[in-house]
Amino acid sequence: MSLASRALRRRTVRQPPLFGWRGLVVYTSLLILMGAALYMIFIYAPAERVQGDAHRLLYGHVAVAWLAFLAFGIVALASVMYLWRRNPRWDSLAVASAEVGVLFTTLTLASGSIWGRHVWGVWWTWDPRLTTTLVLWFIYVAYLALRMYIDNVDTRRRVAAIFGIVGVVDVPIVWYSVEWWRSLHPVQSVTRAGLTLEMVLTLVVTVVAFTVFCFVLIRQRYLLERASDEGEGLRDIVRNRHDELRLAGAGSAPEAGE
Amino acid sequence: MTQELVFLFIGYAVIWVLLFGYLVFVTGRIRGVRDAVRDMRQELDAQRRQPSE
Amino acid sequence: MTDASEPAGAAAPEPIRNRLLSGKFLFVGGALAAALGFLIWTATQGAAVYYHTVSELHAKGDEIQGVLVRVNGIVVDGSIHEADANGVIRFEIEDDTGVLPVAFRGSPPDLFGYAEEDKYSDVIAEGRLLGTGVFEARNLIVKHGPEFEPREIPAQ
Repeated sequence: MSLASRALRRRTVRQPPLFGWRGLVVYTSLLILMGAALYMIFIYAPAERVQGDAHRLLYGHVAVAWLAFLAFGIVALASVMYLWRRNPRWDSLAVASAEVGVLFTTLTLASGSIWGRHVWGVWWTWDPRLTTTLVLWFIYVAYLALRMYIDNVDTRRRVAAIFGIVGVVDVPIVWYSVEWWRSLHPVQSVTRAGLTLEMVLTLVVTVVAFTVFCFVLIRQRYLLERASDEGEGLRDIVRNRHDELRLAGAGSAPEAGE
Repeated sequence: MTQELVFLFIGYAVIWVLLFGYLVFVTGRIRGVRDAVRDMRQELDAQRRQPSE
Repeated sequence: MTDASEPAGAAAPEPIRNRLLSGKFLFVGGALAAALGFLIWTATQGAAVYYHTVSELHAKGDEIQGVLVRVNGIVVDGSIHEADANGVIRFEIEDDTGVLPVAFRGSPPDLFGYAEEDKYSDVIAEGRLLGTGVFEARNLIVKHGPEFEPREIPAQ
């Protein structure tokens, strides 16, 4: 079949899922960065005046929240690029970032909830910042769900790209929610926070470490998506082949009965 | 003092476990999917070498 | 036992993408979305803002009595009373122009108290204003600003 041979001639995704020496370099630096962040969060940063050690959740919480925003920004960017270029690689990048973004939003909500239980006294409240963040989580869970739903590959990618672009509108709403509306959640303000140099350095190292982690996750998920796309295409060809064989062999095949 | 440390450890444990769990899960799935792709390619190659008709 | 006897290549390839049953999925997804919408609607219903200030609450007069609202204020210095026999803690909160007595039953958040004692005195009380003028809080939430300062000023 010409369709099958064309698919077979298509280049396979050959990048290793971060094994080999490149993987060694990436994972080693990731571990070193994470170790440094852990040391700085738990030992180097001073205890906070009111919250004591509980304030150390700030570093991780802020880092994962920023990376969730970044990941959804990448979804929107990759979706725009997909609609423009129609290259499925952009679509794969969008899925990968969306899933990682949902993961980081989950972490933001979870770490915030634990921190809130200690400082505010409640696990959850319908504060504008919390509510809009939860809505953001649902938007991209819906994005991922939508993709499983549409069977036609081109329709799926196009609809998902539009959804991915529209969904990112919630990111600035989350960001400015604490300034636009009365909120329990404190505003994010490096100048007003009165952080000491140690605290700022800890935050920077933590953000860098989690950013590297985030990019590694997006890359792995991207490679998985590329492989899945290839597999999906091949599977259809194999299915067609099976049908052909069954039709051809229906009259003559000795093993037709199962 | 101890209670705030408990909250702190739970908070970071959640972050770390989910991040590393996801990394291991996705990396494992890549291998699985690539194996499946390779099998399908071999099957198609075999069929191409011996056309059914 | 069937796998060995089956001719090679006859086994259907494993699906790469896990597709959920669409009908079931629609139902669950729809139910989730509806639940979320309902939660947000009930949570934000009747209040355009997350909380009122003490003076706003007073300005509303009788109409606000018995309505579930949130009110924000600063704990008045020296106003916190120990829990009485019923486990009710009484204190007052204030803003620029008004003072509101609050009665709260339950255990207060760890960081609830006075600023001088290195606690947060900015609070949000969730509950109802009674006819007696006392705010009956069923939830007490500690509010704090964006400031994060080290516990001790390091020796120079």
